[in-house]
Amino acid sequence: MSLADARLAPRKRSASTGNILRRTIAYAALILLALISLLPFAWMLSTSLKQSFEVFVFPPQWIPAELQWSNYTSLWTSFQYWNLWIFNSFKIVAFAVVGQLLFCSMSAYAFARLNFPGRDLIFYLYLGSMMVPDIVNTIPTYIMMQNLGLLDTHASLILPALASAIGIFMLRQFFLSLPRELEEAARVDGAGYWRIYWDIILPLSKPALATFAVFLFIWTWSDFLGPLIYLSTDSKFTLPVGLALLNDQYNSDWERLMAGNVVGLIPLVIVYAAAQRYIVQGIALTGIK
Amino acid sequence: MTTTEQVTTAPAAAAAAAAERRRKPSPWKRWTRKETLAGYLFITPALVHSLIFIVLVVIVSFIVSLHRWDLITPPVFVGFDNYVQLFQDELFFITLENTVIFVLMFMPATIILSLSLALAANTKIRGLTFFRTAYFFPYIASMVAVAIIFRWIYSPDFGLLNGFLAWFGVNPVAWLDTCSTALPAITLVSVWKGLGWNMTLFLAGLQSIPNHLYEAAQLDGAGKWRQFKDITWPLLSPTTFFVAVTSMLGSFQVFDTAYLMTQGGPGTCTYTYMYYVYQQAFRFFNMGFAAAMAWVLFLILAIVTFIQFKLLNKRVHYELG
Repeated sequence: MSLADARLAPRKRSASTGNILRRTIAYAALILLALISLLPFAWMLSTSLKQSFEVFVFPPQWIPAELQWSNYTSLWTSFQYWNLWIFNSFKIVAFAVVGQLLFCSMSAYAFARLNFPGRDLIFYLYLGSMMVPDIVNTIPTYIMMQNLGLLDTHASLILPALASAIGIFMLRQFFLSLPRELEEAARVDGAGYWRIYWDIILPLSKPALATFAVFLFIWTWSDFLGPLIYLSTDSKFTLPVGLALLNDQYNSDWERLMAGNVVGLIPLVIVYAAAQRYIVQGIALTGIK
Repeated sequence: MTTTEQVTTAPAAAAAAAAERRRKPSPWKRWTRKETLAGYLFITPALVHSLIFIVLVVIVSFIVSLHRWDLITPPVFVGFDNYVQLFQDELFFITLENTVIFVLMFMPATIILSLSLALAANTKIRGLTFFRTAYFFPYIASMVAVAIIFRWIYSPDFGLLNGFLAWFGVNPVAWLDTCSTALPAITLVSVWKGLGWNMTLFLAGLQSIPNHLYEAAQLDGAGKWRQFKDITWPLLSPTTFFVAVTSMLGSFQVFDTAYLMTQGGPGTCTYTYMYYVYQQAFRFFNMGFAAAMAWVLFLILAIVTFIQFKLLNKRVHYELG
């Protein structure tokens, strides 16, 4: 946070009434919106620990009389594929993140630092491709996966997710902002392009790579339409599609559904919290703004 | 590594290097060829991927849109028949209208709220980290969880919203089961969910505005409103433009909110365009028709984005002064 705060470092603070009033209004607005953002999740957490008859009492009882941890343990005992769904989600996210970090950063390095014929044209084609709505690609990808016999396998989700135009774009913008001196020194020492990319560019780019990895984690983990279309066997589902299935099957079982959703949220919260302080600067530096 | 190369890399000696390059063209050429090869090698993995999953599939998608095909029987070439049918299909216009209304509610609400929030958060106040994390929470949560929570909030009998409004004597409303309120209700969920993300974008934009401009303005006696109007708003315009374009592209493709919260209902009141494409493709397996719909959406988005660029881009200040 320190860098951001230093940049925010104010403007003279005067103690005029107008200023105090403004700050009060700003605080009130921030707190109100924080409540609106968090209350639904507070309800989710509280419901996940209730007994069923307590769920719909109004006004909501935020702290249940007796915490029902069994709502959580029963996820593992009564839903046959619960562990598999979690594992499947992690597996697909892992392939997407590792694949994109490698392939997108390689391309981004070439677009940012190397001169070759057609470079700008290819880059602008990538930019243009971000305009194509996903559904245009989804239908033929589905047909292709069917012909390859890959429907209802995780490969049908992993293969299309191994690289992306947005990743190439974000990382290229960041690489352009890096100082060239180190690379030049390395080149004088006889380092080749791969060495420069691997030993200089990548280590310097940790904040940008981390920011991108976090967003990719969030996007892939929460992806709903993809698994919904490509997967049809229950045991192969990812967590969001599995939860949607439970939602249909156990419509009235709110407390257990909520426990399931809390579990699905935990990895995202951990990943976000770990990278929180990089994200604002990360976005500024990777040029999405 | 040749001497030529070392010299070219030092910026101070750039002119000398250029001269040397002219004198000794052959090593430079060899080096250039090496760089070209390296460039292509570096982009190859992603490029192969994009050729398959972007270029090839876009072409296939267009070819499919010229056929009638249920994936089981062989495809039948029908020319532009799918497109003609599309424009005679009542549901096409209904879903398009719903989607446009959604976009027209979503965009202004998102831009105004997330900009105001970013302005409020871009001051030196306590607990900033907490606030930013709080606003980001809805963004990271999966839509499945969000949909369940909001179905409870909107529930007519025991929902939080009706319970809250009852304090003010308002009669219970079946928010998601009434045509006039269902679409605004799911729009609100989408706005709420994207707020943290868009606020973060604005915050990044605000922080890139140099502080000395505000100091100078203060010395000149400019009030807060003048500072906002003459410094913040113009210098923030690239961010605003980016948020406007991306939220337009995203909201035209709204799918999971409608799918998970209302299944398009009541009736067709929240039936969105993408939801209809999804149904046509993966429920009814009218692949050709669905592909034609996808291409029409692509065309609409291209036109709307082009208009946005034309209208807004000249008002965007990319440089200072």
